[in-house]
Parts: sequence; structure tokens; C-alpha cells
Amino acid sequence: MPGQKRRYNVRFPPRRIKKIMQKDTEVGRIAMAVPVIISRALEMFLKSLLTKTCLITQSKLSAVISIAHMKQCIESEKLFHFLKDLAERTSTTAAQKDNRGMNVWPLYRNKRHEICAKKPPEAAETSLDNDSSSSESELYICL
Amino acid sequence: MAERPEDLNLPNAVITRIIKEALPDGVNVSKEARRAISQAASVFVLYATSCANNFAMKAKRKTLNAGDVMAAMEEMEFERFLEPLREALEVYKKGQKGKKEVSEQKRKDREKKVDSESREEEEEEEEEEERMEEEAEGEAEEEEVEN
Repeated sequence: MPGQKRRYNVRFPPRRIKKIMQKDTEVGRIAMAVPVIISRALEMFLKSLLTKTCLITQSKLSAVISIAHMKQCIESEKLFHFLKDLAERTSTTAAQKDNRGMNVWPLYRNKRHEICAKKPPEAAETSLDNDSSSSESELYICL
Repeated sequence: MAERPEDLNLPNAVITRIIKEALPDGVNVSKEARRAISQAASVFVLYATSCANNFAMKAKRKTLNAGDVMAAMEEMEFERFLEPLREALEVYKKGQKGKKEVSEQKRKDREKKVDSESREEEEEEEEEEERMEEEAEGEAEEEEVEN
């Protein structure tokens, strides 16, 4: 069994984790230990997701994990159902810009509103084009 | 407050490392899937945060603590994470205790040298400490920021 190697690289920066956590407007202060445990939980979660997806990839006799395999994994495992919305939003077209990651945020409580869970693609386009008015466009579109 | 998309994703280097450790030799990940994994990571953090915060609010606390995260993991049905997380928490606590002792000792040493070239040494030591801390623990030392 491999021993405990120095896995410095698999630790996520606490500051970044905290920033993500604080996107949730209901979150107040965060104890210093929290980002540390979240980092570890993240590591375990991602490994679990990857391992299970890999089984699907291999069953399809492929050597490359694709979005399709991930979607299938998310669909088949109850544990990953919280990723369903993300899976639905993810496509293999040019929509795979980094900015699309922002689509995820409205799913959880954020600074703008708590009602809208999904943004149609056009809304995302609008909000990303002009940062300053993004909050307004989201409100108009969703309400 | 300008929110740049890059700020909200987790570092690719860490994601890549985790991918390497999780997959058998010869299996790779498509570029899009890699991005999706990074997004899934962020979603996981948000979901865990939301869950954990519910526990904190129920207990009428304004500070999210480790116990809330544990409770959240259970709620999310990641019970098998609990044991490793408890271990990680223990390691962290021990590290904090050790660091406190080390920095207190250093403070005492500094007080002795306060008349001579203490300034430069202080800065050097602080930098060293920070570097060591970042390497060893990836620890956030800053004060909690209220939302």
C-alpha cells in the first residue's frame, strides 16, 4: 500500500476556497479549519467522481474521459445528482469558455437573488458581456 | 467588487494532480471534461457550504465551523469522508498548536534582540514562516472577513 506521500500539490488554497464559499451571501464568518477540511473533502470527492467516470470510459473501450462519460456518471449515481444542473448546462460546443463557469453560481444563494435556479444561455451571454450591469440583466431575465 | 471568472475556479495545477492520482496509467481527460471537473469542484464547495451553513444557522452561530462541515458531509451522503476528514482536522489542529509555540518562541527571541538588527530578522523570519506555512499547510492566516 503506498505510504503517505507529501501531497502538497493536492491541497487547495484556503483563500480561494473561502472566496468561493463567500459567494453564498448567507455565509458569515468561516473558521480557519474549514477551508482545510473542505480541501480534503474536495480531493476525495473529485477522486470518487473520476474513478466512477473512468469505469464508464473503460466500459466504452476508450482511453479518454469525455463530457459524455461524466454526464452518464452523474446521472447514474445518486451521490452526484447535485451536479445534474451543471451537467445539463455543459455542452461540448464552443460554450466551453471559462466564463461559462459563472452559470453555476445562480444555482445557489448569491448576491442577486434566490429565486432563479437556471439561466438560459442568452442570459449568460448578456451578463458576461457587461460586468457592471450583469446583476440587472440577470434579474430582468429571471423574474 | 470586480469578480473575475479566474478568481472563482480552483487552481488547475491541483486539479491536474488529483486527476493524475485518481486515474490509472494510460487514461486521459479531454479538455472539456477537465474544465467540467473544475466546475464540479466549485459546485461541490458551494453545495457543501450551503449545507454546512444551514447547520450553523440552526445553532444560531455566525461562524461556520468544522463540525458544520462534517454534518454537511453526512447530509450529502458522503459519510465515508467523515473519518479521513476527522483525521485531517486533527492534523490541522496539531499543526496550529505547534505553530503557535514556534511563533511564541520566536517572539521571545526577538524581544532579546530588540536593540540590535531585529527589524531585518523579523521580516526575514516572517517571510520564512509564511513560505513554510504555505508549503506545509496551505494555511490561511488572515482574519476572517465578514461577508
